Amino acid sequence: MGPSLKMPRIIFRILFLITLFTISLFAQTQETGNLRGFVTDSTTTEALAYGNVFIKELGIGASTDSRGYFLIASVPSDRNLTLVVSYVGYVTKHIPIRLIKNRVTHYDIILSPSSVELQTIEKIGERIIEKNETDISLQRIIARDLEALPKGVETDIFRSIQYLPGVQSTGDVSARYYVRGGASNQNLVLVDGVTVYNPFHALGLFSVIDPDMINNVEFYKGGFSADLGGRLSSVMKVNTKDGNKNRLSVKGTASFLTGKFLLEGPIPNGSFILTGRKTYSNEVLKKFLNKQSVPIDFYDFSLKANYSSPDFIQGGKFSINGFFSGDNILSEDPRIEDFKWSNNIFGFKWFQVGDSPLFYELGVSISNFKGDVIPKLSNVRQSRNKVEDVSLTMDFTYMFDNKDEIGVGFHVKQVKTDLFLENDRGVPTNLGTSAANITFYTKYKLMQWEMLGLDVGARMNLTTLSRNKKATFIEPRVSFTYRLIPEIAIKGAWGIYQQDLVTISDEDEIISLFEPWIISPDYLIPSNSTHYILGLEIKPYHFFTFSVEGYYKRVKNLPLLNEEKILPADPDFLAGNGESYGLELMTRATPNPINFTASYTLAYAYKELEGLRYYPRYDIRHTLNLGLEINFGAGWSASTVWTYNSGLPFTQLLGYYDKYYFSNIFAPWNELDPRRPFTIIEIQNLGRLPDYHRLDFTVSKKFVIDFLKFDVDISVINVYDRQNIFYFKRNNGEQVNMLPFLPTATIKVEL
Amino acid sequence: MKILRNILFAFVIIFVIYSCEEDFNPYGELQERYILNCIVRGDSNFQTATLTRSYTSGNFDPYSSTNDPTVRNAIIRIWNKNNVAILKDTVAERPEGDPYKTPYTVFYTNKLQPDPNSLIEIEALLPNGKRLTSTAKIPAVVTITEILSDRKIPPDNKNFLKITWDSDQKDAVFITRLAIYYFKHEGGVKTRNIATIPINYVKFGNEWLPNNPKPTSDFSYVVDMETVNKAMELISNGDPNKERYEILSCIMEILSLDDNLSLYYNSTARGRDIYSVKLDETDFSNIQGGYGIFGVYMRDYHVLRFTHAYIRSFGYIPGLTEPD
Repeated sequence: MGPSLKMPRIIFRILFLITLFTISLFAQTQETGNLRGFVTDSTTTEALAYGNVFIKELGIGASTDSRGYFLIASVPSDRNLTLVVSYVGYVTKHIPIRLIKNRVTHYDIILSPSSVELQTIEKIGERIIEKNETDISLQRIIARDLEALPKGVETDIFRSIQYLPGVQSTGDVSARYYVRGGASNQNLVLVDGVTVYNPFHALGLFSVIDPDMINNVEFYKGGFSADLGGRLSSVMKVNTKDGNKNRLSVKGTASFLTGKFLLEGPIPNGSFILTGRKTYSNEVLKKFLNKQSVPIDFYDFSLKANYSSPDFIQGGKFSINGFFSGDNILSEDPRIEDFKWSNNIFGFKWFQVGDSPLFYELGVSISNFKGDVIPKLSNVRQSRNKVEDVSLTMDFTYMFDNKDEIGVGFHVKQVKTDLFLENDRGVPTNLGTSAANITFYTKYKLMQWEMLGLDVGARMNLTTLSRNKKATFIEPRVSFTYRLIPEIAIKGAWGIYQQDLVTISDEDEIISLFEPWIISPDYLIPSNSTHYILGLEIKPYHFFTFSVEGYYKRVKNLPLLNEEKILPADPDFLAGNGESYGLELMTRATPNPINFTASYTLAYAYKELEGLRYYPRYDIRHTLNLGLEINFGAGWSASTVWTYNSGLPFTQLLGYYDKYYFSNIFAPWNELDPRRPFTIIEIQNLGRLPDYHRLDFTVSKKFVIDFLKFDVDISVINVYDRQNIFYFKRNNGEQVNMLPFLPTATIKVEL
Repeated sequence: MKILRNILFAFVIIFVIYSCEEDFNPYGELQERYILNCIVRGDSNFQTATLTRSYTSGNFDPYSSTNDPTVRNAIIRIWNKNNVAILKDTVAERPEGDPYKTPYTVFYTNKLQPDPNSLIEIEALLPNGKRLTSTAKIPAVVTITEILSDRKIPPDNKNFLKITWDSDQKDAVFITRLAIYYFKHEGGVKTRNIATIPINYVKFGNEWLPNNPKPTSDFSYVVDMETVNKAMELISNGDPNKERYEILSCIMEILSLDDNLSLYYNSTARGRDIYSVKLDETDFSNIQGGYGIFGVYMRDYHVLRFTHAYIRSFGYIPGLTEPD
């Protein structure tokens, strides 16, 4: 275990006492009432995340969180007021309310979707309710945002976020994303708070997260607060749907690749939802894989049930969720190797609101990942990776009368990794280990001034997964928003982040099948990054937003694969450093019925190993995304996205030499081997590929026939058939391009 | 709405025009590199080395280059303890179909018997003054333990063969081959052939695919008689004239590689999966100043003799006397 336990215990006790004292102090001085509740959809009963709740007479309000939960503190009691609740695409509701002194009044608010499928909304819906929200580098995505983007073969959250400034991709053939110069294994993916270790299907072409199970996504590009940790670059929190509490519903979807189903419905005092997806044809994947036929077969299955009854526990909501995914590449030919991967996740959560403005969430979860490379008769080395993660989380939030919030939490993560592989000499080894990460965090959100929001916190690693004594003990985090005038806000964040669970990734592999997870080796100090972010948000009109963010990120002790490993005793990893900085601009205009988005990123990323500073493969200097979505009414909508990236780095080819291969090492003397040219390459990633650009287009139609609701999408990827180079084969110079012109379609039927 | 459609249409047209392929040259500037390959046999005094240079190709296809990259007139020396051997160059004919038309230059010596557990060094001095060097540690002798190893096929009272060996080097990596040696008589001509016995066979369609042994750190090798039987059968697969096959013996060969050779062998003989796409292959070399490999292996072998009854059970002719 990393740092000493003695100091953390003292700090923990002090913080706990301060917290208790502060809570009791403010609780006693309460003079007003508090208002809280949940906002849900009237038809699906799903939580409406990031909606606006506003008290008309007082001009104060709050936004709902990812659970649809809101809390407005210090509302004058014994007075008739009007609560206005609004959400894009829903009919705004005006509710008369009256609060009781020193009590928490609970309202469950149900909004009905707007009958006209236009984004009509009263102005209140576009008002900035929480002017001082500390949300720099946070993107909130709701399910309907995903549906609006061009879908391609499958709607995919990982591909959708690649349109955001600061999120890079290395091509059409991978759903892997790189955030602000960080490697893809520095991104944390959480489904209902549980880590997904292998979030990819099918050679990384798609994410494992079926978009039909998503209610909303919170995506942090950096500067995330103290309640989140374990990764250097970004966090994606996927919050899944609860299921329909009103009626049983069945939905089926077919694309060129997969068949999907969704079943949801009520249970006593709750609801359930089951989703499943399975490949039935991988013919379309040949377009992704240079006409190569790969026997990809994948599935994912999720389930969730929730229960909430005042007869059992007032204000409590319990949920269990499971997520299971598997990928197989199995060849009938025994000379060709097989691959298998699986994620098995199970979680339990208890969300509780009390009679005071305190709410907390307790969670227990298990996340297992297993990956196998089965060589059969091939020359591939046998490998197996297992990760067993058992986590316990406790998160408490208390809101004071003056709107300030304090959050404390305790996270325990027990991780066991096994990595069986053959080393470079062909000898099997096991690099497995087991350890626990015990973390305590606290954060204070200063929200009492309307124009200033400040979130100050720290994450303390009482023990770390890494056994290295120099592991970071404390990870401080600060984030602020200062609104100069109602239309303009300055935002900033700073923080230190540590990661001691890493993958063995070969950055030279542009399609990678096996990226095993291991706990950072004892001889390496766990890597840590420091984020500096500063931004400006301008919202002159309710339909127009412009934001600019600059960032600087420094990463130390980055575990990089030791390409120079010769002897068995040589380390598998060397500690490198990373540095990235850039500027992100984004503008969004939403005049009815158009939604136009433009984003531009200027980014620089570097890595340094053994004195050599080089560009990582995902260093893209300029990125421009233009998106246009039009809702024509009567169920028709269309969207188009144009993406431009300046050239990706690549390693230039210098020439060839005839390498000696052992056609028969038992021959009496070295045979004259048939020549096998081997490429000589330049210093890593000094060259640049040509620029990339692509236009995608989708048209959608929703209609009803009898009791069946249909949703048909026709998409065209790479409308003008741009030949974007993916790579060129070193042995014959063949240029392999990314996706060509590709029309696809999906049909969704809902019962 | 019509305006919007027109804008969208114009948008598409602009990018269709802009979609042309661009010229792209993946080559950087090559500085000539030299490649020295020398694999020293521990059980012989005859050693060889080759020396070549790098080359380029104007059309991305390296196979289109027909300029012989061999380097001649170099001085290659090998030191082992107090002995030094200077390798002479000679030429050999290239295989038919080889794109290089000039004879193949090989450097050789027949005066170097490496001493186990000692250091061995090589130096190649090129005509242009460049120098390539390397050092290796000669592995310990590997010896098949006769009394613990089977000597007869089929063995008495068991249905597997076991061969055991020993070496002073406990972290050594071994490469093994168990093979049947036989003659095939055809048109009055007798040709010698070798049939390798794998660990087992896997049937795929109508084909029996061998599962060949991988490099191992074990000190024994076991194979089922079922596999030996299948290897014997496959010698004459599809040929009804079984009597044309004269079976000699079965030989177990074992090689112990030094660290460098072991890594080089693995890097060349063990492949990546067929689905991953890697642009920059990691190249293993222990040659200072260039590329290539300088390595040493020790070798031992062990003969297993077939009973005549066993050979005849396949319809073949015994070629040697029966084992004791």
